[in-house]
Amino acid sequence: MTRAEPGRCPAPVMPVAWRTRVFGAIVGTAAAMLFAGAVPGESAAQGRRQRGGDVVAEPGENPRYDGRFTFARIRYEMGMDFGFRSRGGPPWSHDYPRGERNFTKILEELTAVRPRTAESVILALTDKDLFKYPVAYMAEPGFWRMQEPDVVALRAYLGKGGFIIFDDFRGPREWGNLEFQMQLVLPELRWVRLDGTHPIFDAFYRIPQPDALQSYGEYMPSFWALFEDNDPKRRMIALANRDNDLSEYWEFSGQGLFPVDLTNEAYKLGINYIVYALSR
Amino acid sequence: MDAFLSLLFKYPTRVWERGELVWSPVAPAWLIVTVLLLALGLAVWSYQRVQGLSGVHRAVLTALRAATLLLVVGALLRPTLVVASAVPQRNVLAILLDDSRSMALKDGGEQTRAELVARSFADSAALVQALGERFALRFYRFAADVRPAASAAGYQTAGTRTDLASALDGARQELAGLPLSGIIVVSDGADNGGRELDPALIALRARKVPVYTVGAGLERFPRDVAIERVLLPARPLVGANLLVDVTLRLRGVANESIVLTAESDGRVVATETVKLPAREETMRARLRLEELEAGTHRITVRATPLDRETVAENNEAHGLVQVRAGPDRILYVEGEPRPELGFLRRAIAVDSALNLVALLRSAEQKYLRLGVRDSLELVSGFPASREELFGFRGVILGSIEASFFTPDQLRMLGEFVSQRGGGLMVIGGRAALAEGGYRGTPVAEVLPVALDRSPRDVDAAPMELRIRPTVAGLASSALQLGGSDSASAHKWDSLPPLTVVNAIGSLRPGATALLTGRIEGQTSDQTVLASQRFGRGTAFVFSPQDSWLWKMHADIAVDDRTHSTLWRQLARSLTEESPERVEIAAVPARVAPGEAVELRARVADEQFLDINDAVVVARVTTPSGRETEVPLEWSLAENGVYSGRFVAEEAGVYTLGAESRRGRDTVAASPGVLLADDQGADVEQAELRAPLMRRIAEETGGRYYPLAESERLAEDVLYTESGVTVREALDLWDMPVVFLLLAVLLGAEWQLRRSRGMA
Repeated sequence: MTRAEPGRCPAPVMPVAWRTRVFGAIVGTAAAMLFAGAVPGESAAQGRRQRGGDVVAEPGENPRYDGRFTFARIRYEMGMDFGFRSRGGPPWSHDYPRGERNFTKILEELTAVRPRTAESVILALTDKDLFKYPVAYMAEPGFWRMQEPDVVALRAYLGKGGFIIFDDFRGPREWGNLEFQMQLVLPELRWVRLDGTHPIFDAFYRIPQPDALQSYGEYMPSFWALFEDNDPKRRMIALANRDNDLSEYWEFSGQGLFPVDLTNEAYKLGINYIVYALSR
Repeated sequence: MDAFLSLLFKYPTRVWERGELVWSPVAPAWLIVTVLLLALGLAVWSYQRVQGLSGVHRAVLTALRAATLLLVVGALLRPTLVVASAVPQRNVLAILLDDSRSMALKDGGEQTRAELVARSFADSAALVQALGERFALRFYRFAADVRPAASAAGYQTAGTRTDLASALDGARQELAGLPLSGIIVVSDGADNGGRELDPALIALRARKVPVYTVGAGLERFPRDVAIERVLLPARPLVGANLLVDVTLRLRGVANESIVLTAESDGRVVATETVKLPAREETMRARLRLEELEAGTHRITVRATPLDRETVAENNEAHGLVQVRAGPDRILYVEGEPRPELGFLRRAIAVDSALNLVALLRSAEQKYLRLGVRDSLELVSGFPASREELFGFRGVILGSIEASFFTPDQLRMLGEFVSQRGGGLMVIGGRAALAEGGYRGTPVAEVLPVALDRSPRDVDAAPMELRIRPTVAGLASSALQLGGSDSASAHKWDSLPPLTVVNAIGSLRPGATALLTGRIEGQTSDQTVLASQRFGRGTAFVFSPQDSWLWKMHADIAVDDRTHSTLWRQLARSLTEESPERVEIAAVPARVAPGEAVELRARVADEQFLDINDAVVVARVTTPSGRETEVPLEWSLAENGVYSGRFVAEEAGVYTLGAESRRGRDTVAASPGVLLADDQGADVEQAELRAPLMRRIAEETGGRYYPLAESERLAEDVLYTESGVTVREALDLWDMPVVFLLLAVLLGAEWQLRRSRGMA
């Protein structure tokens, strides 16, 4: 049994380019000042957090492994918090839990996958239980920092057959961080940009133009993947929704925040990812 | 003992066994009985009158007198034994002499078995002289077949096979028109012809022809290691675990060590030092061969001879292994996207000899097809026809409920095993087995476990089982996880537990449990992997839902290949014995040059139903490359089986092919092989098999004799029901035992009377 512990992040020891540090410090400080008045209060007694008026469940104890598909969110440590924690918790927890709850319900409704819909797991890369969930999800990899045990664990996870989805990040700095972190894990691999002909876009739904989603701020979404031996015909081990945030669509799909078409596309992509990851 | 009994009872035991007891009184029976009663009365009366005798003495004396009188009266009733005996010189007696290579063994002595037999059955031998006076003798030599001979001289001991059934049938048929009194078979009983003996014995019994068997050789060697049997994989796929089971017969070599080696086409491919047990006289050893390329390989297994072995010729054995290139096609039907599918596909994908086609139901009426041959294959989902389904050699059913299939598709799955001879594996899952509603379906019928337990609640916590191989599992090539038995066992011990959501029922009779699992803290095991032959095929149940954990688990090293190795081997065991539509084989698969073999082809249609009206031609390619066609005829005895005869003149490996034509349907057979050579043949079972020889004699009314006692044959063979016979009445009243008994009774009475002062 693993206890999820959001927000307790010791300082990273992995080398980070000084420019990235400075940029992160500036952006973080600015964001902290900007949202100072809106820092969500945490109520330990209730075990719930307030976020923009919404009630967000505090991550609790992970359910016991039972063989069913379970949404596994990666909890990681970040070097410089600088207020991002305040935007509804640490970056890795963004869109939790409604993102995965809504997504797994749709997954159950539309496909033959038999997922857990009321529960999901939150695990650190070094958590042994992560190896019982061969599909993992990470939010905001732009803020992700690893220590050596994380690198070793993720390398083992992916080497054995695990598949990781990176979501909810934008801009060259965050992409650069993801590239950098994954270079530590698998230095020999290079990210490959996917187009609509890749089988992952035909695993369940036919999605000929996956990047035709609405822009994410100033950036247009694109899809990048790492393959075994850098061979796109071999197993895909990691997928990045660059400049995109599928779980944001999932999270607010019940509230009409985004157009239905876009939300549908986000669900379709998520479903394809899961069916693909479980069958290849 | 027999001689002593013959002396006492006047006639040999054989006459007593064959004869019928009748009474021929010298006077009317009523008169004899009256005289007896009077004599008895007189005896009782006279002893009653004697004074001073105790009651006990009086009773004993009376009894002795009465017994004497009864014996005399018995003699007067004139018991007679009526027995049939051959009329001298009017009958034929066949003498069949084993001329196979095993007769050249010396059993540790100076002379070979053949030399000893030749001496006992020489024209000048007393036995042959005596037999010759009463019968017309016909000598035959036999090994793989039987042929006439002039006498016992001229042994060649060249036959590489001993076929007692052929020898008996051959002699009986050749002498069918003659009055045959009996057959004498002189052999060491090393029957390796492969034919059933019973039909030959039944035919002889029907003709009332007794078979007298004479055993040559030692029943038990003082010191010997023999390779009794070598079990080679039938037609493995390239890259398979090639385990060779060697059965050793041990005599007087307790606690010693031997070195077993296996050679493939002259190259050593396995060496194993084997410690011999202290008590057991047979043991099984296993050799793991190095990987062999696709094609036919000649395997020779040798046990290094020990000092002073009685017979060293039986220390090697030969055989052929046909390694198939594949790829074998397996259909994996999965009802829900789950890690088991992806990991299993990846495990098998590295094996070029296997082709896994996955049909994943990703949603209702929506399929994801992976590994299909073309865009049309499985386009409508699970095969709707037998032709399409039977194109696969193996089927794996994942978590897919029974109601997914139509009733006909469920029947097809059952017939896939029983009729097509394919391998079916059901793996655990929320919609598998009883939980998937399979109870009472044709699929449930073929499974090695009964679905006799109530389905589990699949949403409840699964059972976590620590899994270990059974004894049968440890020996199974599919479950070898290391380079040696101990390495494999160690690997099994190190594997993390898996989970099971299905209630696994009891093992079916005849099924084999290969893996069992135990919940931590409990003491009972439950079946995890089981298999059983059903019809022509094999069915497996593998209960865990997450064998992928044996790849992914945190305790498993990244480069660990356990999961892939296990699934490749399991997949191979699914398909390895799946037949083709047309197959051809030689029976036996190994002969000596010049011997005939039967070519047997099994022919089936697209639905794997046996067909008897095809035109089948075998094509034999000799070791020198010459091709010969042999037309095969339907054998009548078995549906779908066609046979023909072929003589393997050249030494070496023959390749067998066949083509079946039926209307427009022409199918080529998967190739078979035949080995023609004479190395080490016929000496695998070098000890005299007296029990077999005894059985042949007893079942036909004959008798078994060790070679040293064969002289007794001369008298025994005389009394027979077969041939031209005459019924003789043999008096029994004058048997020595009668007079002896009379003397004893009278003597005892006289002695007792004397002791009581009455003499």
